[in-house]
Amino acid sequence: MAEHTLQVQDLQKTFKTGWNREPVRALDGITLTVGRGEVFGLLGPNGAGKTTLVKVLLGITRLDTGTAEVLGRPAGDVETRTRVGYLPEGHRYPLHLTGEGVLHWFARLSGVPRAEILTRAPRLLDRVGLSRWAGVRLRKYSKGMVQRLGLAVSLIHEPELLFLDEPTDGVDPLGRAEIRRILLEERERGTTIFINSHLLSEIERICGRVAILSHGKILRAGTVDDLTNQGLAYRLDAGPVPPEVLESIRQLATSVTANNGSLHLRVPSLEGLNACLDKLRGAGHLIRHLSEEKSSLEESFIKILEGEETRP
Amino acid sequence: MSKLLAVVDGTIRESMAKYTFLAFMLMSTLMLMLLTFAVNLDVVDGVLATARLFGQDIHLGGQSVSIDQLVTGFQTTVAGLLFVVGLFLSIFATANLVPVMLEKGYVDLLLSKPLSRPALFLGRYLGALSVVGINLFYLVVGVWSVVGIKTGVWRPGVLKAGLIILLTYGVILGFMMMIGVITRSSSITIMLTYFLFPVTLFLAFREGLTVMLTKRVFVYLLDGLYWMLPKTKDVFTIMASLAAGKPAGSLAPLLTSALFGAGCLALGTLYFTRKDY
Repeated sequence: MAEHTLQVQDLQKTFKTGWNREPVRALDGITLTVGRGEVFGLLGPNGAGKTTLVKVLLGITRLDTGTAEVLGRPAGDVETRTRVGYLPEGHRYPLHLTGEGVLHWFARLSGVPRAEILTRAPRLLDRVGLSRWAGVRLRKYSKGMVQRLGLAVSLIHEPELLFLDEPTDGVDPLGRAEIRRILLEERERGTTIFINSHLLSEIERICGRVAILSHGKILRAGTVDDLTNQGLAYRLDAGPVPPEVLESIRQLATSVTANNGSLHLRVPSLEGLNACLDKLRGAGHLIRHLSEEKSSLEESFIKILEGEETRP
Repeated sequence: MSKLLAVVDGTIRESMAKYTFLAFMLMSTLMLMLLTFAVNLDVVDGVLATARLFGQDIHLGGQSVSIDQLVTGFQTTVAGLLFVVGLFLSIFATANLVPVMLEKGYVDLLLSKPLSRPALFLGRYLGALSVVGINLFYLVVGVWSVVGIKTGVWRPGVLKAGLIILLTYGVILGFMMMIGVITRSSSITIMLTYFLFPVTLFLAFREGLTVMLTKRVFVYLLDGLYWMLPKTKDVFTIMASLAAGKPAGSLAPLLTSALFGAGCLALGTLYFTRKDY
């Protein structure tokens, strides 16, 4: 059994575009691993190379140099694809088919036995909330319904690994919540999920680990906590603090800002934090609230990308 | 194998959902109903005495026509019409099969399935061939059966002609798939395929042109093109001979045309296999 579901080492891919065959480096030395049962998010602005990476891992696009393994086999291995589900961005299904027809056909293409299809398809349509629409042709479906059907198609062969490219694209908030619920169920089932998205709030809620990709390079990778943690930064509420107490705290902290009765502290260590609290309590202030300060994933994402932009 | 059959099945369903094939089926059904219910033939000693359409006499021009000649002539006419009209409609209806398959969002889904690219491409080819075969043989076998039942004359000519038409379509389809996978455009595929017919017709009459050519190299060039490209005019002649119950003569035009189709299909498959999507 492979230790990692996905293992990518120094992956490079260059496309040649236009009449003059101008080379464009889509992936530039990508190295990453995704463990079994993990929910991994790949973030990045448009054109960062997210979709190209997934396509390379599925064998839809071929890599130039480096190595990529999916479920212990080289990327693109035909038989491995029986264990992999995929929901591409902007997916299209034959419009003459009904929702049920699409599900049946893609299940057959995935090698699911007919008897299994007959039991799985209605269950899955029910799970994505399309039971009533099963017999309706796709041309009558809304964008959100097609997206939910796409999720069902990607799950019909019960894959061990699921690639989702912008899974909530064009879906209303209710639909997004439904998709999130299904993905969390899949996570419970032990499915490894690899999500490409620029909807950072979605990623923050679902993913354990994320990587930020820009211009074909991974800028940062780690847990959501790693990326959003600002270091030893705290917000505390102890009522209005007189200037002399504030000055004594400033001597212990790296930085202090007072804002509407709240103090924002950055301290060199936990001992420093406790010393600040002692000062406040010593001056007769009651600590009403203390919390670690974190930026949202979106804020971290923007900071990291801006750092990349300003780098010489 | 089951996955390949799923591709074939999917292609048949996709094609059958088109109005062109529905219209073709409808026209075929009308023609068969007309033959079955509206045409009355009185045969006396193997010779057609009177023929009526919707109860009205059809004037036979005072000539006595043997029922054998009538059946053969009718079958040859149907086969000739099918060769031209059937091929024209089939090209029109299936030219977009590859460009549609290559559309962003659809090709990604298909290529993520546990099916090799050659199998996917071949499945698409077999699907298109099957759907045209179904339509073609519905009419051909229908005509053969109705005429046979009404006259008692069972000539296999039209059935053989049907096979030749299907083979010709198979050759053209190989070319269409190659163009489709390279250009990803239905309109270019249709244009180039229709353009192939006058070119091959021109090449079929190349011998009459050689006197006008100033250099020998052009003669070789035309000869080379003739043998490389499908020979629609010669294949039509073979088909018409078979439909009329005559010997087909040399099968070289048929075999070299088949080779052209197979070559195009192989090139198309190779291109599809190596391309990034």
